Amino acid sequence: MKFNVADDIFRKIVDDSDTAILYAEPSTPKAVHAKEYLVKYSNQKAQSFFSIFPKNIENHPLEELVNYDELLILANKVLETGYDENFNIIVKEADSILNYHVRIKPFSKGLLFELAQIKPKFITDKESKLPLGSAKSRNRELEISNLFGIRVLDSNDSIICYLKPIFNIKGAVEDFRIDYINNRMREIANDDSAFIEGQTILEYYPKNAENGVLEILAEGYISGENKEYTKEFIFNEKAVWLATKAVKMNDGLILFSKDVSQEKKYEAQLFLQNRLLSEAERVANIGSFRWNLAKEHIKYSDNVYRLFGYDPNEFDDKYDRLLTFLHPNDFEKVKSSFKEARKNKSKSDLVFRVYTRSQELRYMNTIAECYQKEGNWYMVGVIRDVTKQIEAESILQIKNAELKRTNADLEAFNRVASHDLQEPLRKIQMFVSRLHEEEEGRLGKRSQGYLSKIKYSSDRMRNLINNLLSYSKVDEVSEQPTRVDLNDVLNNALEDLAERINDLDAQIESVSLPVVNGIQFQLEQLFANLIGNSLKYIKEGVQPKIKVIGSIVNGNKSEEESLLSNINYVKLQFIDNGIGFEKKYQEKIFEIFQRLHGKTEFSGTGLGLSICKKIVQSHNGAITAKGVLNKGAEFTVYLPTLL
Amino acid sequence: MDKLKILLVDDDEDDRQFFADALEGIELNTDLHQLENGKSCMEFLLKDTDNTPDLVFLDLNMPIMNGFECLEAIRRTPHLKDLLVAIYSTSSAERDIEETFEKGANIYIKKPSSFSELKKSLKQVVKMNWAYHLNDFKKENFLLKI
Repeated sequence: MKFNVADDIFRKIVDDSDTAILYAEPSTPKAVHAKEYLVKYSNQKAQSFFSIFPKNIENHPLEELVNYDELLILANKVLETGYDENFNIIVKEADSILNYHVRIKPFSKGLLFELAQIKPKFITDKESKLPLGSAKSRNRELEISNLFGIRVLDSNDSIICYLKPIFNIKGAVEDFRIDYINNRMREIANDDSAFIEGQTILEYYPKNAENGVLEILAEGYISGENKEYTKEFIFNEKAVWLATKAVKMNDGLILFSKDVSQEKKYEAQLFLQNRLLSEAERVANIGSFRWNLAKEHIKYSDNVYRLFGYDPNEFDDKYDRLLTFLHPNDFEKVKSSFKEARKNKSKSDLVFRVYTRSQELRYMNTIAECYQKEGNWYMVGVIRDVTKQIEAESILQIKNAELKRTNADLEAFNRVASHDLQEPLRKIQMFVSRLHEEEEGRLGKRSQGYLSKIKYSSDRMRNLINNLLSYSKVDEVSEQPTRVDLNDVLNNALEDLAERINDLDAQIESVSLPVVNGIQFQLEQLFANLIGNSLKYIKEGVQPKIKVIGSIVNGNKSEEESLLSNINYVKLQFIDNGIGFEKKYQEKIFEIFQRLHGKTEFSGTGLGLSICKKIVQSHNGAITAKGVLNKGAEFTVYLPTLL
Repeated sequence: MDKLKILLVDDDEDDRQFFADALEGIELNTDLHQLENGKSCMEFLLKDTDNTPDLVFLDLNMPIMNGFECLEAIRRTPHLKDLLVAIYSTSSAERDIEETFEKGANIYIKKPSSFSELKKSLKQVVKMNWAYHLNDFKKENFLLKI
């Protein structure tokens, strides 16, 4: 059997149809019985329906295929009467029972069998309004509908129509008459009228004159070329997007229109989403890509181009082009990593350097994954500019390394100070003390003086070493903080300093102090250092007076900026009437080894206040100093109160 | 009363001299034996039980076998497990002190920096009534730091 026009399209429609179609012709001109008919055409559905038969069933005797006796009996009936026969059959298939509607009708030189599975679709109201028999009346002018039953066309998802041109007096196409249109049009347009056929396309939809449809169709008819267009139509106030293909057939046009409204809607949404994504990528300095691994081209998002300093689509989207941005030292790494990911469909996550269009060195990070879709492998991923992070990280690494070195140095120093330095010093002191004991009275006055100086210096050195040790040990405390009564702390500190207080006849004034959370011995050291400091820097001829005041302040309202707001602090003030210091030194005096005075004037290692600061800091507090030269100094300590 | 037998294990010759002079200076009835490291100490103690002293002064930082190892070896030896051991070291590191007590030291003396102090602490240690204190053994009671 030969298809004359638009063969392929029709074959596709027929093959895609849910209806099984079989066409048979008599084996000889004399054949009168359906048994003697040979199969001339079958669609895919029919081939699968009659799956017990060879795939190529053409030219097979109908009898061999259709072994349902009833089918042959009815086929004979059709041959006798020349009228269609409709009936239902039941087919048992595995676990299910399937209902088929069968129609046998005379067709061309033979018989046409249509088997449609009965689904809800076939028993709708519309179906009952359009009895199969009425199809016959529509066949008259339409060759194509002679090919197969209307059902095939009606059950198709597309609108199918056949148009005949109407010429004006000049011989130009001015309209088309709708000769046939399938039921799908009525469904889509929500139009029950049975009289679409016979109208022209401008009568049916006047806007066809303005929206370019008539023009396109006329051109298609004249040139004989296939035409495709997608247009929006309004049917009964409902917008419908139809994607249409027009093919010239004989002296008319056949149109296939698909309702793509949903796709259009998705497309609009997708467009919006893409725009949002693109915007988000730009803001986040991220680009994304999708790569069909079988191909060399990569689909980049707009921002990928921007990351490399280009406008969207400005550089070639080939994979190889991407590699040209790479820093030479990272070239092999990236290439092999992508090769690996492409081959094994593995996940990849790597950081590499690239040169952007302006030859700026940037760090990029890509994370990509592979997935399979419809038999193709894709790699999807993101590219991020991580230059900032990498730079920050490398600074951090350098700092960390520095810190590690410093810590190691400090540890070594501790070891040295606690043993190696002390050992020889202790011996010096020991020998000095023996010399002093044994030779006292026998040494000359000057030698006696030298010995005293050696003793003084070595004592100072021991003091210094001990202070250094306690400074470095502030952070090493393994003890847990406990409730510490600051009154006890003050008393213990004063006890340690009792001798000096007595010697100087110093006056210590204090109020009742609160309880804090802390390490007792450190707080004692803090108090002893601060009070000791006041006892050290005294003014000649003036009785030293030291006042210790305690109060509670809120971090918010305090004058000290480093305190946390909304936390209450114990504020301790140590006020003396000593020599004070200039304002410019009030930060400096807490620095390690900062001495404001010559060491002969006042004893001191330059570490006392540094230790204080460290202790306060490790208690999450703060310490400040205020001084007026020759008037006195005031040290203020803030310690968080108990919660 | 028999002489109190004291064993001093210290690699530092000067320190051994200070110690001997100080012990002599406090004029108590003692008999001092000196050794240079943990190894010679153990050899001495294991050779003859008659050698077992009443009191051992043990330096920590010594070559060949240090004070920690020597202390462990002493406590591992059945007839020495109750021997009175005083650590005699320059170190004032808390962890060293802790460690020696964990390993069974009875007393910790930080080497002083003046001769008179050395005499004072030796006098204190030697005069202590060991037997009495052993029954009520507390770190604070025995930790003599000068």
